[in-house]
Amino acid sequence: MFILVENVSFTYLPNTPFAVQALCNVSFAVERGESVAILGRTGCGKSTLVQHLNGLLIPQEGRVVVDGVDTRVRGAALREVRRKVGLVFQYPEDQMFEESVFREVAFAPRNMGVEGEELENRVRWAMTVVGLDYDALKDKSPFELSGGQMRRVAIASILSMKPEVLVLDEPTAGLDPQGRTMLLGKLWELRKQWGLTIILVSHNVEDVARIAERVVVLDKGKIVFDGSVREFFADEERMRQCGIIPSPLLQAAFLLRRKGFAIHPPLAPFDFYLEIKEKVLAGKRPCSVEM
Amino acid sequence: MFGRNVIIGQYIPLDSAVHRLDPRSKLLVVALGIVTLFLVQSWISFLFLAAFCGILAAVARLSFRYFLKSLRPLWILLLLTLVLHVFFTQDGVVLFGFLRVSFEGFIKGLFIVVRLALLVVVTTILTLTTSPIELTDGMEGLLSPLKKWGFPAHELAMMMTIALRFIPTLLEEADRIMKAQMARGVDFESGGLLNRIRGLVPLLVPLFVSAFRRAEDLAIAMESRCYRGGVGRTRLKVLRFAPRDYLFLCSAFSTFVLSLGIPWIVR
Repeated sequence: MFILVENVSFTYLPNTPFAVQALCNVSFAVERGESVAILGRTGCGKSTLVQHLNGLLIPQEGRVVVDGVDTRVRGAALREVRRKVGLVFQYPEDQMFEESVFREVAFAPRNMGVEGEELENRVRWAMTVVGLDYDALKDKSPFELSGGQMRRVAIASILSMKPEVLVLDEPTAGLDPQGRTMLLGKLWELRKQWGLTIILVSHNVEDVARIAERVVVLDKGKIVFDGSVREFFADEERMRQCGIIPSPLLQAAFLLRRKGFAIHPPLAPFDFYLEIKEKVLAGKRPCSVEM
Repeated sequence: MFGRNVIIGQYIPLDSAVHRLDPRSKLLVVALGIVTLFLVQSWISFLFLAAFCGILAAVARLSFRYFLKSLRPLWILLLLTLVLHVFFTQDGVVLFGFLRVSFEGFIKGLFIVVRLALLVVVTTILTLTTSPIELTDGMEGLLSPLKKWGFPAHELAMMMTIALRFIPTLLEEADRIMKAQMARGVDFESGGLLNRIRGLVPLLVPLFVSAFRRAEDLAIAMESRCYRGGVGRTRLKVLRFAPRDYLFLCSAFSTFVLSLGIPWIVR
């Protein structure tokens, strides 16, 4: 087991009138190479949970083990955990401070002691992987870039650590449709080509459907569902109970099923959704609907 | 991480007689109380003032813990005061060489420590029972007579409100950026002084960038709602003295006068 979260509970401001329990006895495991989406409504503990995955928060109860190392370690071992589990925060461009894109992307590996040619190679690789032109952009100020480019620089600045897991907290928030499609495509490639384990935090059903195979749903600090995307997206009732609003296309699929229309070929709502999506994107007619 | 145990300026929203007092009367009493604390010269006066604080805290249902917490950042200062007095009061017993220990100095030091502690307690009662917004409203109310001479009371209060409003936001932001940089391998917790100072650059630059952006946004938001300073502005909550405010003011004044006069009466 690559990442193991075991009976983790966490309370903010414990023992004060402001105490908020963010996580309550959460357990799950992620295998190497998986792509998992963590879903849930705002304030359900998603962000708290992902900060546990690389030891930024230490569980008050229970434990988190990354590749055999308990995150309660300190010093070099903890830094190694943070390297292995690259965490991209929400609005990661807010963390930028360097004068050039190169220095921004090189910041994390430099902190890990990487220098010289190896450093340059890593920066080049990380920028190329997220679809940024290394030679054209490396000397630009990160603050001159467009929103989508800034987001990708921020993600590259984590990838340059060569993490084994990439954890992204709402990576597409605030991006325009092109930026979103581009970013999701790059994440998919990262997984397929480079074998990265991806953990995606989102409440955007479209993003989840594109990237993840497994869904972990949190509600009020507890895990209420852990299973395949297909299974989760088949049950509209459960999705809504968990505070997840189906995307318009998925809603259409649910509606057709509710109204008793048979879809040919007979498909589960999620497959119907994928089918429509692929065909429409390819400019073809989707499957026929029989009244 | 940050800001988790800063109690000064952390309002505890309860519903008590002290909470409901007009912020102006609370501010006035605290200001006079501080002056009194610096004027009094005897232990018995402190007893009066401490009893007054105790009653206020009890009425406001504040637990003793909050006061200990607000004193915590000051304990080094208090200890240092005491130690300096013990060793540098002239009439002490010579230990060896120039080092003297003075019992009188200890008593004097303790006196000042109690004075400082009471100072903190008084202001903590104010900030625990009065929301920052009420505080600035009260300050504006007290300063507004000076408007006649062109004193920008409203603008000052607005600036303070905004500053107070953004402290938690900026702390949260700092916490978030710090975590983001820690995820990129920055070590804020160890290393020498120089290393730690260097480690602040990746924290401070993004923090300033976001603070300026927020300021810009706020200015635009205020302008688009036609904010143009205090002239002709009315308020949603008009401050009004209630009977309990007069009662509070009277009892506070009499306590202060009594604590100032008591050494003469006792003698």
